[in-house]
Amino acid sequence: MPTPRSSIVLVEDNETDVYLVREAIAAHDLEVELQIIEDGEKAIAFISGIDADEKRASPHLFLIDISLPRIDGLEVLGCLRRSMRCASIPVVIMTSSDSHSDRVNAGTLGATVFFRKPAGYEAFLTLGAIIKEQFG
Amino acid sequence: MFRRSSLEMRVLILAPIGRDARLLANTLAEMDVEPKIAENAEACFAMLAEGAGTALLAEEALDPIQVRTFSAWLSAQPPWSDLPLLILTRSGRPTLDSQRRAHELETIGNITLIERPARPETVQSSVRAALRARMRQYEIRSSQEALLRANADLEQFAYSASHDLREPLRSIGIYSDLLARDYGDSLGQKGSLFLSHIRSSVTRTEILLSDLLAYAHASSISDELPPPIEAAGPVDAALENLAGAIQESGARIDVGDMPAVRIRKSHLEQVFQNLVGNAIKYRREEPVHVRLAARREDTFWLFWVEDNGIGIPAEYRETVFGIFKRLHTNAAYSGTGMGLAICQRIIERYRGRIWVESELGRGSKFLFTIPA
Repeated sequence: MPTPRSSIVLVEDNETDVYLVREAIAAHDLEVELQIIEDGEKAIAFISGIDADEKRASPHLFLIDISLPRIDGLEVLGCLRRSMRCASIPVVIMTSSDSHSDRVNAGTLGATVFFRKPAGYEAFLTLGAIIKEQFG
Repeated sequence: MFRRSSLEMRVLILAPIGRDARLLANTLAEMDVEPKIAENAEACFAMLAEGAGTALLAEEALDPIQVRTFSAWLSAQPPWSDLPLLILTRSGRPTLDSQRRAHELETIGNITLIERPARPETVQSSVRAALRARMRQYEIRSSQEALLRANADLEQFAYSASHDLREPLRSIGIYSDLLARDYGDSLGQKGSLFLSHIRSSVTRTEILLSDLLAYAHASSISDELPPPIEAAGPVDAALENLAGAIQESGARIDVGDMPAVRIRKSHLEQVFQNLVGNAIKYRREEPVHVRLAARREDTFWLFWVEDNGIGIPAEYRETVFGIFKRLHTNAAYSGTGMGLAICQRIIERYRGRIWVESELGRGSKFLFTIPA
């Protein structure tokens, strides 16, 4: 059973999309705690921080955008899969590109779900269902 | 005088009698060039592969097999390269036999025959002329390489730009949806009209970006030809993608026998999709009828897509293939002006040709070729 308040880390620099992710979560009545990290470097520091301190709780889910400042989302994913304590946490990779190579690379690096950010509001809300599935 | 890496401008010497080779080397040593003696034809080929400005070959060093090897090597040169060769012919009066041999040697490639006994000045000036020509070839190579790099950069740029532009565009689209949903009632008639203009511009820009992406993608098709595929597959896929438009227009589509051709599936699909899509879009009042067919011409396959639409005025039959070239307003016929440019890019990358024949008010026939 899911914990009463699951925690999600969203690695995303684009505020307009952060808002939409919140909307998607709200639309599916999910009780989650959302933490935002706005670039790839900080995301990697966050992961190392969890590895270094066993008492720190690790999140239940990562949502990672590919296009990020400093270090891109695929590199963050690779780092996450190599980490001690975060390697098995589900990861949703998000991007607005429909590039075939991004999809393939995300799969190879161990993404759980590839979410292509859609161009419509209603379609974006389906992200909520994807998140719910990961906690199912 | 010839400043280049010494490998690229060296003069190879192949003369079976060592004394001849040394004499030639001495003659060249008086010039500012680097002579390099090859012990035998095999060694000479190995050195050629590493680079050479020209080669001085004694006729007697070349038996018929070696002549063939030379021809094969020379015909495999990259397009910029046409290595000049200097051949010292046997001495003596010209005979039928020597003329025949000279003719044979000419078939090798870029050959200058020097008759023996040759004066040192003759050899020197021939070598100088050959190196000068070679130098020019290297210059062409450099500018071709620069051009290829610039092209690749441009493709990469178009690719990244269209990807990166999608991101903010998506947000504009979504947030105008939200504005309409949450504040639509208080916007009034004028405000709602503005918002719908924003929405339709977003849709149009999205199509434009995916067309740009397809164009950049078509530009980066590699020079290597893929194995042959049955053209019928991509034709079916294209018609399936257009199923909505076909049904809506009630178009009748006839497809003739399709051959196997060496082209990537997705590229042929894109070409047919754009051509058939146009055939349906630029229709007249009467029922749409489109015919797809192919036939073998001598060295290539000829494909065509023929419609009974509005046709294209004679003066625009070439410009329609240009990027962003359109003949109609968006209100009359929507489009980005990229479809035919993409087709042309793809077909030309496969060394084919595309053109249109048309009768205004009667229909158009787009034809393209793919090498067999």
